[in-house]
Amino acid sequence: MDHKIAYELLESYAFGILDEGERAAVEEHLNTGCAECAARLRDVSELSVRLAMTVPQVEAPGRIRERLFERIGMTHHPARSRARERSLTGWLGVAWGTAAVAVAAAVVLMFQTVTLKHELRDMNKQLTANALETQQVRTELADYKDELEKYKGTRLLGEPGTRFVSLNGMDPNPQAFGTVATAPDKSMGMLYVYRFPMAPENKEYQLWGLRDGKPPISLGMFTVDKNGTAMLKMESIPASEEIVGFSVTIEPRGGMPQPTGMMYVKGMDPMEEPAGG
Amino acid sequence: MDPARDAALLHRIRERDETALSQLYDRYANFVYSLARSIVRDDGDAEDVGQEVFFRVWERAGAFDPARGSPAAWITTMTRRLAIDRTRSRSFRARGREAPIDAVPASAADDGAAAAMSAEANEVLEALKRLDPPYREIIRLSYYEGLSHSNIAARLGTPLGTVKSRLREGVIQLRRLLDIKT
Repeated sequence: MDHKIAYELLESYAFGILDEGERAAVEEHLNTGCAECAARLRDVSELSVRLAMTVPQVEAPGRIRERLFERIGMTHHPARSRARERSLTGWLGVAWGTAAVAVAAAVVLMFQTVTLKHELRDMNKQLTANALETQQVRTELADYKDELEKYKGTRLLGEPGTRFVSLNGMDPNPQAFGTVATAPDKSMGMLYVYRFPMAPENKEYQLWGLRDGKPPISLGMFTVDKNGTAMLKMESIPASEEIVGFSVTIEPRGGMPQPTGMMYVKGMDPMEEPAGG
Repeated sequence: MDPARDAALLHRIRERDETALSQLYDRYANFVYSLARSIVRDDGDAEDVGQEVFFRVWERAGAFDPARGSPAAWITTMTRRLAIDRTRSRSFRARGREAPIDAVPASAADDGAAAAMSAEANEVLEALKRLDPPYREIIRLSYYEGLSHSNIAARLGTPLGTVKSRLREGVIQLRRLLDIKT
């Protein structure tokens, strides 16, 4: 992989979001000993550690340790490793004898490699052009899918078994209210809110799924129109079986990984609310 | 996290010292398990990822390269990668949990949960808050939701190139806000 391309993928490499092919290509470049990329990766990886610290810390079950050492016990054979070392030493003499042949073969291979590299470069160019075209088609398809999903969402309201949770206005704006409708299996849902103030330019509203004894889950961002209303389609609801209610807070545009702003509406699912709670 | 001490443990692990692995496990087990769990959102899957991370530490301690980051960074990257790969697997999707979901940190608005947040974590959240919105969004989707470039592009309706450049710039801005020296 070209240095520039690898360099530009280092954030994603450290975040673990590259696919297998891209990841292998970045590693191949790093293995060439590129000091600039190694330094950049070091910086980005340290940021990744700090971001990881914002995740709620829970205690690891003891089973992990038990399973780990059981597995190591099954695969760890020091005697076998030593036997392999001895065997390698023995092969060294033979290796020297064949070195001259290997050098000659390497020269031939080098010429073949140059030719292949040229072919590979041409193929890469073609692949890049194809990838751009595919991306355009994907984006168009995503637009159509959005439209279709909005239509599907409105149909949800008429389906039997759909559950509704009323959201009531909170202190900053008590007249606000809303409803969350979820499919019977909670796999998808719609949010409708009314009488919300327009969010400041650098802010957006963020919908949260509330869980019993666990941190809320982000379910999406939205803004309201000039009438203070908004509709948000939730294509899938993460950890849906754990959600016992919903709330909306105002957050910096782009959303936050956890609620930090004022809460505007909140409602608990009467079917999920614990007795007396 | 103590990079020098962790590096020494990794050195001993490379020499097949099980005690060193046990010590490293004690230092990182909760961190690895919590990080994995926030991505896969399932206790059983998080246990599998946790076990695999430490098994790889045992098997590949020799691959750790201090030039590319601290032991904590190496372990973090490995954990995220294994957890995200799991969410992208066919069997995971078949269980109806297609979306790798955000790693939702404890809520400041959630009674009691915020108290457990370290000062360092709060500092990171404050920096995220001050990030320009398009960059905050891209960090949220890539880091906390673990989405691939193409999924982010489809989600935001932006070209792939924009996603990559925004992520790059977002990381630069965030590092600047956290005063991480280059």
